[in-house]
Amino acid sequence: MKKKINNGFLYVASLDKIFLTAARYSATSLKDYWPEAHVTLFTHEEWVKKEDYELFDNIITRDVPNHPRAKLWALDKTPYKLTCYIDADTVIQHSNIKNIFKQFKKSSDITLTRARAYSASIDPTFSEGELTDHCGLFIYNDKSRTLNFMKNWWKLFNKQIQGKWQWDTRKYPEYFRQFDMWTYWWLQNKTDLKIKRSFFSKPDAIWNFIYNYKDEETEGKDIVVHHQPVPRSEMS
Amino acid sequence: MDKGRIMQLNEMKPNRTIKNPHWTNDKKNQIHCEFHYENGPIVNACVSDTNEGNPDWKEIFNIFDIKEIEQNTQTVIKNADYQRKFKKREKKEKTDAEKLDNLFNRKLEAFEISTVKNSKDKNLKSLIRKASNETEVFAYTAVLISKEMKNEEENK
Repeated sequence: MKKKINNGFLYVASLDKIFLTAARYSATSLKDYWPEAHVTLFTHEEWVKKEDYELFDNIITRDVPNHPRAKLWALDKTPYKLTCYIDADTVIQHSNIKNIFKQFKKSSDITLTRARAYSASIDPTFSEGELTDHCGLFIYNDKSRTLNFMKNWWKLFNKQIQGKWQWDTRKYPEYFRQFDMWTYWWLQNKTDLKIKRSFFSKPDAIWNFIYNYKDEETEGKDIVVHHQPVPRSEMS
Repeated sequence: MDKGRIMQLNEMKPNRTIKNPHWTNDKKNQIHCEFHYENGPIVNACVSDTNEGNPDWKEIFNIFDIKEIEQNTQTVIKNADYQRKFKKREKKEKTDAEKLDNLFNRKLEAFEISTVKNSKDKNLKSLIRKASNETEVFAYTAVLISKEMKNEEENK
């Protein structure tokens, strides 16, 4: 069995080529600040250009589903001991990116940033809680329990979007259906599959700064990762 | 009363429920309401009193008191205000999103230029990525390309 590399970044580009364009843009910025970073890309064979192999040191195309959340399929197939999953629509803006893996709390299985309710496109609150864990950038380990969680995240999300999983809509809004953060919340709070979670140190927003966050979220520190949705007009 | 006359009256005043009456003006001499007919149709109506006495006007005031009509009027005003604000916000969000899309596209295009992509000048590349408008993207891209060309000249 191939020995796993200690840590690396994982990008996923599927469904629309614009996500691959965005992933290239993001990975280029990552390599500018950290040329030695290990970067894996999951995408489709027919989209890959020769020069992508210079940017990504590992490109996986086999069986990658053409799916809006192909990321969930890819998570348990990481080649790293410690993985930073990062959405394609991100840009690295600071050399502190080299310290991102130090943010991982060893007592946990997954380290995330907190989503800000004011920045969400939907109301993330419900009677039992709130969707607080941002699933656009996180670090996770390769323990079998963690990878099993990721596998089940993919499985349950598919049931969710296919309408095969119905929940009590008096407790949990129906409009959560298209969100993987909801699937994650359910697995973490309502099942035995849950894994130990922790959060990036404050100001956590600098590690996953969503374009509509308030400036004060950074507490005067430099943004390391900026996160902005890909242009919808470019989607085919 | 003969059968034909009853039918005629029924046609003139079929079974209906009046809903949501509210003032249409500050003079309070006109009411807007909905007539919900038993067989399904809903008719929006503006009702005013007349010299002869409008039976619809009388009917409204027999069913509803002034307080209810005032409350309905306030609700209608609030809803219209909310709708106006919502549409305004929606329009602004759309415009902002389009601006962001265009800006991001310009950045992607800049990084499609091999001189920019392969440049080792982290600072200028970072400035292009952080640019907050298209002019900044063009300006920093031009500076970077010019710098790279100069470097190339010097290295010849």
